[in-house]
Amino acid sequence: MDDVLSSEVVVIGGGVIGAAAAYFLCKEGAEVIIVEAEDLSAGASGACDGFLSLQTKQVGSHLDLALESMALLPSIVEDLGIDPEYNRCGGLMLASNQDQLKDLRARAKKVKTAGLEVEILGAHELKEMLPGVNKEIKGAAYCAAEAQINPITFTLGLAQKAQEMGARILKGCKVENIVVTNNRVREVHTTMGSIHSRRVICAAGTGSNEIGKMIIVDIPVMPQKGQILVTEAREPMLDKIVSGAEYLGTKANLEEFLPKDEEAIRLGLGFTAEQTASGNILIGSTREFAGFDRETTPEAMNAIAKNAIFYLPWVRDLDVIRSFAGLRPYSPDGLPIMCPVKGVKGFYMATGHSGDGICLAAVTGRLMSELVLDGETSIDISPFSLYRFK
Amino acid sequence: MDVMDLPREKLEVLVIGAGPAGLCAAIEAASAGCEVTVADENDRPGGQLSKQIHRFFGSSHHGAGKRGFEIGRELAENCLKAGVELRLSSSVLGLFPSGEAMIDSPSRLYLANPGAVIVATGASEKSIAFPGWTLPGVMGAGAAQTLINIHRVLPGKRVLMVGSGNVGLIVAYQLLQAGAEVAGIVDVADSVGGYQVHAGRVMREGIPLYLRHRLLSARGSMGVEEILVEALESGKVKRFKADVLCLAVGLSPLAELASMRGCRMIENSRLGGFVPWHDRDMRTSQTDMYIAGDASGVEEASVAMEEGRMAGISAAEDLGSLGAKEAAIRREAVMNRLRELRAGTCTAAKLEAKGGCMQINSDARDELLREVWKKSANGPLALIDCREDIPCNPCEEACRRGAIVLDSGICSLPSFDLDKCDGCARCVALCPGMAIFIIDRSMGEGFARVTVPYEMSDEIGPDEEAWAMDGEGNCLGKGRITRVAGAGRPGHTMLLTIEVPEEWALKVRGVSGRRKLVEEPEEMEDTEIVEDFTFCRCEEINYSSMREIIARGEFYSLPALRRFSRIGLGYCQGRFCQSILRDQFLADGPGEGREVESFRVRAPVRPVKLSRLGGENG
Repeated sequence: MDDVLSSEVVVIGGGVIGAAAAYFLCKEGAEVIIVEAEDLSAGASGACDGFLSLQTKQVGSHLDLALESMALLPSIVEDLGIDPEYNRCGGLMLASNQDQLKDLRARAKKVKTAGLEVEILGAHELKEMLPGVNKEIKGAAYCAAEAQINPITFTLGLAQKAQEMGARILKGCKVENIVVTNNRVREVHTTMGSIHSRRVICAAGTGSNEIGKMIIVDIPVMPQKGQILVTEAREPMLDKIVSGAEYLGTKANLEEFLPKDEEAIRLGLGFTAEQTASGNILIGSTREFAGFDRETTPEAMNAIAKNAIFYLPWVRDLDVIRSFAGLRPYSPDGLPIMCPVKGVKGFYMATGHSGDGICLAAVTGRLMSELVLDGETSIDISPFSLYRFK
Repeated sequence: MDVMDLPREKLEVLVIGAGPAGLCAAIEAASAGCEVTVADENDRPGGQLSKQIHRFFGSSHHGAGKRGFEIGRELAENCLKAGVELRLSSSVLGLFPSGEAMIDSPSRLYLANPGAVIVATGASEKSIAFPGWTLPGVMGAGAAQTLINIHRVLPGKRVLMVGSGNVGLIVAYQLLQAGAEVAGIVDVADSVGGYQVHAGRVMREGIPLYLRHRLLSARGSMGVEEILVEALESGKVKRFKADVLCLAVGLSPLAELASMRGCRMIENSRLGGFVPWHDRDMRTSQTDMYIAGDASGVEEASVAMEEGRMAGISAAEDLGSLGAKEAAIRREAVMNRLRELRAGTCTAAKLEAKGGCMQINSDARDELLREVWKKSANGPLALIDCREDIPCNPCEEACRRGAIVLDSGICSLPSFDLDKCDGCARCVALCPGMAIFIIDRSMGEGFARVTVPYEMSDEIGPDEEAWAMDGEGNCLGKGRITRVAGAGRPGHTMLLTIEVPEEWALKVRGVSGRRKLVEEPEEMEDTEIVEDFTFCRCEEINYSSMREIIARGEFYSLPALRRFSRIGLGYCQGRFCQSILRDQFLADGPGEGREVESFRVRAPVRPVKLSRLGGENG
C-alpha cells in the first residue's frame, strides 16, 4: 500500500472493543479504518471464555455499564451476519462453605438495589439446577440474566458488519507512530503507510501502553494472564455458566471471597466452566502477572483441573485436548478506561477492560461512537476516565 | 487440599522417544556417564523399528542386514546395559518454556526437570484429502503396518497403495506377506519414488504399478468398497475393487514439543516441513535442547541413529560428562559415518534435490549379464541386480571370498568379481534389497537353476511345481523347485532354487506358489461429479467450505484461520489436517511469499483425562 490513506476515524486494535467501536461508528455513517497488528481477536478477545457475567461486576457504575451492555446485545446479535452463539443461559456461582453462601446472600441483596436479580439457592435447589455438582457445595447464587457468547465469532461478526458498512480493516498492520500537531492528532504512521485522521481510538488492549507512549501519555494497563483448559467436545452436559465464589474474590477483588490458600491467591485461581456451542467445556481460570508471556504452565493446569474436579466431580472423566492462555488488559482498579485524552484532541482511549471486554464491548462501542462523533455520551463515563489514577 | 500437587522429579538427561534416534542418543549419553531417562508413549521400545520386519540397509554399524525389529531390540538392550532407564507407555504431554516436562505415566502424571532434553519424537504420516478419506479402510501405510506387524491383524482383504516411496513399497510387500492382496501401487510421479530394489520386490510378486495416476476418491457405504483413480495422460478413470486404501504420501517431522519449548522453527520442505533449527551437532536454538532423527528432518533410520549419537554426545559434553577433546573425537566418528550414509545420490537427492539417482550404465550391465550367462555354465554364480547407490553393504560383508567389494564407501555400487564367486548364496540371503540371485546352468540339457530369496508365507516344498516370475511381474511359466534352504527358521530368508528352461536363466527374479492374477481395474467412461466431503472430521467442516474460507483471503495467518474456522481446533488438534490446510493456505490464501507460522502448540499434545491433570492416580 503506497498511497496515503485518510479516514474520519482510525481504530487501533481489532479485538472485540475495536470491532464494536467500528460497528457503532459505521452505524452512524462514519468512515472507519481498523488497524490491527496481527488478525482480528488475536489478543485477549481470542483467548478467553464466553462468560457474560454480571455478578462479578463492581456495584455502581461498573455494573450499570454491564447491564446496559447486556441490554444492547440481543439487537446487535440479531444484526450480525454470523451467529455468535449468544445464549442467555443464566449463571451459577457456587459456595463451597456456609460463610461463602452467607456472603453471596448479602451480595445478592446489594446487587438487587442496583437492578440485578440474583437468587440464592440452597444445596437441594442447586442440585436440581446443576446435577452432578459436588455434594459438599452448600448452595449458589443464580443470575438468570447472565449469558454466554463465542467471543471469537462475536468479534468477527462485529468487524464484518462494520466492513459491510464501509469500514476498512488493515491486518498485519502495526502502528509505528502517531503524529500530533497543535495538540491535535493528525496522522497514524503504520507499517502499511500513513493514515490521515483527526480522530483516533486506542482499543489496543494490552498493547495500549505502547500506543500511549506515541502520544506521551502513560496508560496504566498491564497484561494479566488467564489460563484455560479445553475438553473434548461432548453432548450437552452443562447448560449454565458456572463459577466458584472464589472467582468473585480473584476477579472482582472482593476480599471476603478470596481463596484462603496462598498459592491459589498467587495464581488468582477461580473456578469457571462453560460448555460452548461446539460442545467443548472451557475450564478456568487464573489471574497472573507474568508480563507478556502467553504460555500455559503445568502448575496452573494442575490447579485448574483439581479445582474443577472439586466443584464438578464428573469433569474428571473428560479428555483435555488443549490449554491456552490469554492476556487481559488489566487496569489497576479493574474498570475500563474510556475517555478523551487531555492535550491530544481527537485521541480517545477504550482500553483496560480487564476480564470484561466481551461483556462490555457493546456498550463501549456505542459510547465511543457517541464520544467521537458527538463529543458527549448518553451515560456518564467520568468514572472510567484515565485521570482517575494518580 | 493443596492447590497444586503434581510429583516432581529431577532428571539429568531426558530423551523423548525410544526410536532409533532416541535409543542411540541415550546409549551415547549414558556411556559418557550421564544419567539418562527415555520416555516413550508406546509400550515397547524401538519406535518405528519395532514394526519393520524387513532387513535394513546401512552398514554393520547400523545393524544392516538385520531386520528392523531386531535392531530396535538390540538398541534397547544396549540402553539397559548402559544403565539407561526406559519409561514406556509414558507420554510427554508438554515441554514448557520453564524447562519442565509433563509426563503421563501408567501410574500417574508427573513433572520432570531435566538438565538436558533430547527430542527424538520421529515423524507422523502425512495425509491427503479426497472424497471418501474419512471412510473406514482408509489409513496411513504406517498404520496398516502397525496392524499387521504389531497386532497381527489384517486391515482388509484387498489393498490399494497410494505412494511409491519406500514406505509404500515396503508396506505393500509386507501386506502381501501378511496375506492380503495388493491391487496395485498408485503414484502421480512418472517414476518410482523409492529404491529400485524395493520396487523390484513388489513387481516380481505381480503387484502392478500405476505411475502417472492420480487418486480421485474412495467409495463405499460402511467402508471402502471401491477406489477411483485417474490416468493423468488419458484422463481415463479406473475403478479398483478394494476394502483398504493405504496412503504412503510422505512423513512430517513431529517436533511440536520442541516448538512448545521455544525452539526456533524453520521450514524446509525437503526435510518434510517444520523442524527445529539445529546445528551440525544437533543443538537447537534453546540451551540444553537437542533434536535427532526424523523430528529434525525426515531421513533414513541409520541416519537417525547417527544423529541420535550426535545429540547424545553434545548433551553429555554440555553437561560436563564428556571433555571437549573426547567429544570432538566421538563427533568426528559420527560425522564420518553420516557423511558416508548421505554420500549416495539416492539419499543425497533428498537433501540436495539433485533429481534422479545414479544408475548403472546399461552397456556395463549388458556386459555383466553376458559374463554371468557364460560362466554360469560351469557352476553357480551370483547375479547382482543392485542398480542404485543406496547406503548398504551386507553383501560385501556376507561374501567370504571377497568377490563383492564396495570400492568407495557404503554408497557405492557393489563391484563383483565373477571368478571369485562360488555361488554360496550367503549374499542372497542377506541382501536387504533381495536383489541378488544365483544362476547355475551346469546341469545342461537346456535347463538352468535359479536361486531366489523368498519371504512369502505360501509354503513351497522341494520337488513341487511353482511359477517363475520375472522382474516386471510377468509370469514366465512353470518350473520345478529343486532345493529349499532356510525353511522353518524364524528370521531367516528362505532360498528357493527353481529349475527352469535355460532361456529364462537371467530373467527369473521370483518364485510364486500360486499364480497371482491381480484383478485389473475396470475403466469407466464417464466420471461422476465428485461430491463435497468432510475435511475437518473433528469439527465437521466440509472441504469446499475450507477452500472457500481460505480463498476469501480474510485471514492473515494460519492460527487466525484456525480460530475463526475451527478447523484443527477439535479432538485431533490439527494432527490430521494441519499439513493439508497449510498447503492450501499457501496456495490460495493471502500468505503468498510470506513465512506461514504453524498452529501454536500447547499442552497437552495428546488428549489426557482431566483427572490425570488433576494429579489423580491410576
